[in-house]
Amino acid sequence: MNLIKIAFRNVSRQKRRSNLLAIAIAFGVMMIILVNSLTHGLVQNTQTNFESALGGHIYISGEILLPSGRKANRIDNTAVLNAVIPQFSSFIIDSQKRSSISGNFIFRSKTTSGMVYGVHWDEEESLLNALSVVEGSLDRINEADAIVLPLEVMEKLNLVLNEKLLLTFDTVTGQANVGEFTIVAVTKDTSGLGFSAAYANIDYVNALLGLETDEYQSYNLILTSLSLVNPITEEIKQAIRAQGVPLKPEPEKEDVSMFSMAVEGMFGTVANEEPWEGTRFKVENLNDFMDMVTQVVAILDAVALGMFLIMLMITMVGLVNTFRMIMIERTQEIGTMRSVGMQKRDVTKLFLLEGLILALRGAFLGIIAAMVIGAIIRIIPFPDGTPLAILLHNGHISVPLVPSNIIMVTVIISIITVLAVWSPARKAAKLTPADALRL
Amino acid sequence: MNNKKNILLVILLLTMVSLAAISVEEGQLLLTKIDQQSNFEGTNLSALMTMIAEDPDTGIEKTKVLQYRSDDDDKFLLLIQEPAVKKGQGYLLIEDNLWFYDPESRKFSHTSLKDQFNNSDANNSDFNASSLAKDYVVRTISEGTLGSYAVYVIEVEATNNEVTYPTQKLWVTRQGNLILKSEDYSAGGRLMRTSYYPSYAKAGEKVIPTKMIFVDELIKGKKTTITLGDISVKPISATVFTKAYVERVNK
Amino acid sequence: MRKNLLVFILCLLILTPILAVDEEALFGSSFDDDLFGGDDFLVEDISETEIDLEQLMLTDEAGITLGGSYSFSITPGWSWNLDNETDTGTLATDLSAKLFFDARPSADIRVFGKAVISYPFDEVENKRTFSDILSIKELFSDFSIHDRLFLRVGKQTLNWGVGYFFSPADLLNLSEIDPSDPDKELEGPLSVKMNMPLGIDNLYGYVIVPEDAKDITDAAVAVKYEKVIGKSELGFGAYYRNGQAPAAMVTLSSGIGDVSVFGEGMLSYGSDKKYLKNDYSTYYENPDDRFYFSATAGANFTWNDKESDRSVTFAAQYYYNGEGTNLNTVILMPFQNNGYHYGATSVSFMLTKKVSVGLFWYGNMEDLSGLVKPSITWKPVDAVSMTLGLNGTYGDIGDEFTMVGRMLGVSLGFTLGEANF
Repeated sequence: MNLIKIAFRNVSRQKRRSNLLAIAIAFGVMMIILVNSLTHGLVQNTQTNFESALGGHIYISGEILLPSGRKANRIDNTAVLNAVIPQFSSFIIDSQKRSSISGNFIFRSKTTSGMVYGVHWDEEESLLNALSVVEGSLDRINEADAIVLPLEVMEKLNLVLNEKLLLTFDTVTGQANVGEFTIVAVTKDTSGLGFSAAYANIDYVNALLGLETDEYQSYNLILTSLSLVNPITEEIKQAIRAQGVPLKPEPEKEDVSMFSMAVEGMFGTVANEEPWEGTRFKVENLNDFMDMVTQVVAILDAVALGMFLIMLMITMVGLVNTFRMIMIERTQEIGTMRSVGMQKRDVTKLFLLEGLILALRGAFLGIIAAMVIGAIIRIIPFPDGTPLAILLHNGHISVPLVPSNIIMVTVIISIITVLAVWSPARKAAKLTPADALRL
Repeated sequence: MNNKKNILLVILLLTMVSLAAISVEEGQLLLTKIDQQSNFEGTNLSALMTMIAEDPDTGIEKTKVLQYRSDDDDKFLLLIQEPAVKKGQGYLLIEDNLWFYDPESRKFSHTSLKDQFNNSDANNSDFNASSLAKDYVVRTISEGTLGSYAVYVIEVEATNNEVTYPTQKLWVTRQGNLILKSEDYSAGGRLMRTSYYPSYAKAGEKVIPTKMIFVDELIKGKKTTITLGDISVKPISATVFTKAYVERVNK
Repeated sequence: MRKNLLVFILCLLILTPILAVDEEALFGSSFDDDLFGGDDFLVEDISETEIDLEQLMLTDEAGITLGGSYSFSITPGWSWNLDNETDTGTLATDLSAKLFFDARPSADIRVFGKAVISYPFDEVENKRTFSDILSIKELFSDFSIHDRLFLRVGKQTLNWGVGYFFSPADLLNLSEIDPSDPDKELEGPLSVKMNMPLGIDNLYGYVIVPEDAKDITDAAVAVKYEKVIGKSELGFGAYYRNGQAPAAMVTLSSGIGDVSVFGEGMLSYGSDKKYLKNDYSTYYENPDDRFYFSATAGANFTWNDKESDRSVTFAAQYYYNGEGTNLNTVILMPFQNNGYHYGATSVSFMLTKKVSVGLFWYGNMEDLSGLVKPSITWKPVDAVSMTLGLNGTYGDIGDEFTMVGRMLGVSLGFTLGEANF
């Protein structure tokens, strides 16, 4: 007997009940797929936005000790990085060397604080693509004193394109300096991180900071996969240590030592650091800034899982009851089938197949619904400057449907349904034909 | 005869040249003298300080404070006289501990100094001890005038790259070695600030400017004028630097 | 002749660069000429004898300074009881003036007095007494003994605790801090305060004469030692009055980064608190044969934007009242802090010079009732300000802040003609 054909036919017989069950299953599947996709998209967008704002996944910087005891943010010993970084080239898609100035923009009588990143324009394709230009163009970025300025600075200082702007700041050794820039383009902050930076030619920025032309203050790496960020960071630290150069000691992250540091700060002075020779390196990564986001995501995922489990429980209970009812309704039918030669295990198989078909039908509907709703959510535009910008990609929510997620949910639903149907199926199989026909 | 006269004339004129010129080494010594007469280390200083900060955006802000300074004990007391809304507020600094007194609530609280003179063009380094001879080397020195005063015009360059202004141009009186004007240049050679010291007060061998005008050369219209009056270098009694004194002088 | 001329010109050419006059000084800015062009003496000798700056603020040329402040406000409001669905209109008026005199006949002594006059000025249906209309807030004199021991004698506000919204250690002042107006001056007792500075530390002694004192044994005594350790100040104090629970306290005020932190702990043997019972006529008293410990900890923080008028002020505090009660046979009147656990927070944002918004929360953390007050203030000109405020209480009926039900109120206050003189 073709049990599958019979199961299909049986499921189609009771359209209303089957459809209702399928819808219940579809709803649960849709919810879990959507929530998982949203959190996935949230994490992806946040990481991308941080990545483009901070310029990579791993950030290596250095400091040297000046004769007065002050520290200068400078990498004196690039040979160390030239020796270390190639060891990880198979994990690195892209890298950027940057310098930065934190100072005050001045135009006529107005001032505002700001940050300028010095970049190698010809090596920062991803930055060029990520910048959202609202005025001017990036064609002139290679001019020596060109600056790409964020819109909020333009508005604060009442500037117009091509105007000359002053920036006062301290050099790496603490000397006062002034830089003059020509505004060639204006950008808007799409990362939602709230700190819009300006960008200029690294050669000019280095000259202003008192660095040599080929120097840089931070070396940023973009890895092939985000999952490699933490392990590669640790390996880079070890490789730097193996070169015999000092690494900045990490502050402990436990609450206990933070408390003791606070107490130490209140009642005494924090102990001075040991002096060092040459450049002392510091290696940080995206996750250092993402901690809060990953915690929120973990909570969201846990909530979603909890919701899914509850829905599964409800579905399971519903299925058990429904199939029990079906068994009672079809007792005579079972009797008939048994009397024409159907074995007990075939009866069980038949019920299980019916359950599986319902589950698969529901899962299929749920996946379609998730795709449609996901597409609708993706279309919703969010206004510029929304505080949610960090979670968005170009002003829209991302809802990436992950195939492995979909398959896993389908498999789980199928298993649960089969388990739910098992007991009534077994009971149905145990009925003797005579008893079944008599009832 | 004519030749002799010519030779005498030349010698006379050349002598004038050698008498008139001042060497770079002498200029360096001049910096040392300026440091010595400016430093009040180990001395007490009390004064009524008036600070007028002019900003084209925010207007004019006037602050008047009574200050008491005892460098020996690392103690400092500041009592605000103006603006009226802040009158009576006091900042008592002893070593690393700072108390702020609010006469309205009669409470003392720990606080930080960061917001005190935040809109002013004066830097903290302006109130520290002078160290021109250590931090700078004379590049050129020439004679000139500033207004009605005969001055040396000295261009100095920092000896290390940690001094705030790498280059400065100073106008120093030939009599008394007083800095009348100073132009402070950025690392890139741009004029950032011009400081004027039009009057001084003297106590023994020490001098202190009683009027200082700091003009921001990057923001047109922004300047700060600080005037010191009623200066005293008498020893200050220890009771001045106590909470009890701050409470007594307030309403 | 020609040779002389040539030599002269040659020497001039040699001399001129060396004797070169500063171009700026010659043709230069009029600002330089204004400052340095006159004949005024550049250097004056420091005059030592004329003004004694130490004594300057301790004395007053006129002998006495008078001053004060004036304020008038009118606040109409409406409040709704969300549980029994009744509403009432309210009108609060406040008219008061503070007058003070500060007499400094010499640097060694001064006398200060402050009084408050408040409206209504007449006895209205025998409800107001003269001392309600004109009340002396402070009247004391300051003097010292050999500049070592500083005394303040009279009616004065005492600085005992460090708490902002709550101060369990403050057993000296006559009034308690009102969490909704923590900056208001507290009314102090009649007392003798002695302060002996010990370098950077301070030792205080107090003798307090309560209003109901009949003989010297009714006076209270208190001592406090303030010690600076690092960037913190610790205070250790003790209080005793015959017939009342003796108490010891410790205070801490310090800072972590830009945040000021403070804390108090108080231990008393016995308790003077009593609570009104449900029958509204008898009282429940805490037993006197045990120790009671109360504590509080809090922080405050202020941030100013250098480029604009914006600023944020934040304060938060938790209070554990060891002398509290949660018996259901007593009534916890709101704002008396008679329960065990309390918290208060206030945040205010100055958005521009004229507009500020604030939020205040004060609640009982045990029965989960409390009060929330958001408000927005606009000050169009110096002498006028308007405050739109909401206030709401939350909790179950019978809880401390919602004894008769949850209330929601809105008010629009006008403060007019406020001045200091």
